[in-house]
Amino acid sequence: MSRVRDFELLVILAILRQPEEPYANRIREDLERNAKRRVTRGAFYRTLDRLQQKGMIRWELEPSRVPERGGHPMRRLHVTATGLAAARRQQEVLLRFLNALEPLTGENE
Amino acid sequence: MTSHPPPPSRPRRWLACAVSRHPAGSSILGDLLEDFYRVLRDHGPTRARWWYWREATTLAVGMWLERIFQPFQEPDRAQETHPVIEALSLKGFVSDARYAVRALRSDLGLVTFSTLIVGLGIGATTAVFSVMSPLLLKPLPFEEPDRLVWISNTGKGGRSAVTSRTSNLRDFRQRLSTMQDVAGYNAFFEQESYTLAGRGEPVRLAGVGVTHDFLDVLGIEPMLGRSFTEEEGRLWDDSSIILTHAAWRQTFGGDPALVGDVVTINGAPSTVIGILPPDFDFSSIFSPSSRVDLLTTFPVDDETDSWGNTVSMIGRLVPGSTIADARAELSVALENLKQEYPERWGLTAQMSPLREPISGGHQEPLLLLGAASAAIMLIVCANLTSLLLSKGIHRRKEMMLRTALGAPRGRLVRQMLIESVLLAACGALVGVGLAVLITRSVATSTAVAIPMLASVRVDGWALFFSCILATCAGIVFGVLPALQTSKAGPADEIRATSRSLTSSLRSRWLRECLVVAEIAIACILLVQGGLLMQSFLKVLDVDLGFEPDSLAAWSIDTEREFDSIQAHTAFFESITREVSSSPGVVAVGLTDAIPLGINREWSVDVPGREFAPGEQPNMFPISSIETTSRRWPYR
Repeated sequence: MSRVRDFELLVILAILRQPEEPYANRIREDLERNAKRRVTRGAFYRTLDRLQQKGMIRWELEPSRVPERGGHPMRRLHVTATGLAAARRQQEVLLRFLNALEPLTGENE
Repeated sequence: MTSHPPPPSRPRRWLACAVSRHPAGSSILGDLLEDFYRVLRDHGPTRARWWYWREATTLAVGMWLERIFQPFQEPDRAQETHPVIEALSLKGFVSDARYAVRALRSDLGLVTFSTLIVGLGIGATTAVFSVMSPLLLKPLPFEEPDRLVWISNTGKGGRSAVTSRTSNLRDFRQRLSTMQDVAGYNAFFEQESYTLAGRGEPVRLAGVGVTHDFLDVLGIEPMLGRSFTEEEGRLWDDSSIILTHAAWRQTFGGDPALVGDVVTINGAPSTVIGILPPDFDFSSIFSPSSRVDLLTTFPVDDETDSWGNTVSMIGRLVPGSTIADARAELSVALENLKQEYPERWGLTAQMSPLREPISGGHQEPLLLLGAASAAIMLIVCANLTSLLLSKGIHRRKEMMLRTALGAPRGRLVRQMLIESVLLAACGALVGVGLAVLITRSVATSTAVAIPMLASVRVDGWALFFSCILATCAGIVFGVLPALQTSKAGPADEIRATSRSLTSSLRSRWLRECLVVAEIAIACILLVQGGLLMQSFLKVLDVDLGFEPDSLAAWSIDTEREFDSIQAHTAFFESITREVSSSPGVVAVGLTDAIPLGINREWSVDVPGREFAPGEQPNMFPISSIETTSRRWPYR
């Protein structure tokens, strides 16, 4: 079972949470805006490639509906069952550890 | 959208090329294009273009690097960053650097030895190439030096054989249409003496007589003041002088108000009309190992012509003319002159690029020296490589342990990289110091007569290439153990280590090859050094033609004005008598050219009298010179 890195997990979750079609550009914008971190294009595209190699995501190229793209296709991303399972595993691990925050939160309150 | 400017085409092409093999390459181009128009809308065209340049080039470079390093990536480690990429990242750099320094401090022997050999190699190579550079590699320090030619007599031997008469200079100026101008200087300028008086203690200066257009032909502009005028060039009285920059600084304290002032030279007033620029050192270029403090005029007239071969000529070609054209025209001019003036002797001339007479005699020895220093640098690199390889064998165990403990291999590579660069940097530091010391001492030395030695400075390119060579050798062979360890993996390494900790067959073969190469190069250098030593010993054995032991020579200059030649002779004879009467003095003689000092021929013409053997003036008995024949070439 392949390991999922932090950023890879964020990308999978970003794909899953998109209300509209999860195109690559939108995922990157979402990560930059909401994950509070700078996402360089190179790192982002490499992560997509890695996730695809691990079988956690797949993509398909769709004809562009945006005129500014100059006719270049859009990359629509999908999370595979493997990706979903990996994300769930990470969720369990994180929750297990995040539980430690609860008593502290109570103290602070 | 069509009304908006398109993104910059160059980065767009680079990116298109970089993503061409990517299955979603076209969509990546589209993503960037879409964002470009968003930035254009929000921030305007200038910022959008800059943004596109930055994003596209960064992405393209990243894609290229990934493509380059992809083949080295092992399938089971594909998810890890490539070690080279990790080594180049700045994460944990400070701690790695600290660790590298600690590792080097624990092996001071290696550090000291590597620093010394690298420093020696860089210092020696840089110094030799710095000396070679102005003479062989850089253009001569004149305006359009390719258009400058040297016109000399075709004789062989001393200076009289290669210099020419001023009548020839005058005629060449008039008859050579391929020459823009022809200038000259008195090649026997050491004969002249200039005593500066009226400014404290009298100071003896060395001057050279030049034709009025000498500086113009070379394209030298005085730093202060002006050059000689044509009228001044006809005068004999040294009433106008141009000081060299060094003399102006040393003798006159660099006073800018000196230009236009009158100073007393040889008891007569002379006006300082100009100061030469610091980068033009006449003696260093045209007469190494002699000194020149001032330029004065050397008239081209019947008087100077009657002196015989005295002038060295430099010409400037007309733009578009070649030296072949000028040579052809010169030979025609010589033939015509011979027919017009059948009584004129010394009507021969040859032409060569100005670089030839300046660097000619030194070219081969300097190239030989350059080859020797390059060989030394190779030995240094081989030595450093051997050291690092043998050290690497011991380091592999450490690398293995660190890998087993979870150290990423990129970090291991980077640490070794830092160690190697630090070693090379220490050596480079010593090398720079050594190069500066050697170059400075060579530039101020008067022991060797190499042209333009005074202008020798540490050559930046030579230093750069020497440092790069040493650093590359250090990096390549320093990083090798880390790469080998990481590639094999800790388990393999443990097995390999348990079999043998001494060395692998491959690295042993490499080290043996290096040792063989080092010995071969060292043998070549030894043979070369031995031959040079033999030549030097032969030079020491050459019969000088006189006995130099127990001889002393000094120069006498006087400002005194004599009424007659008899008074002049009586003055010098009185000196001779006084010195002769000193205890321990066997004989005293006078000459204006000591043996091996100035190589020239001069006739002694006493009408109606022929000297019998042993009747020559006193110079010969003192030096124990045996005359073999006496010739009176011309009267």
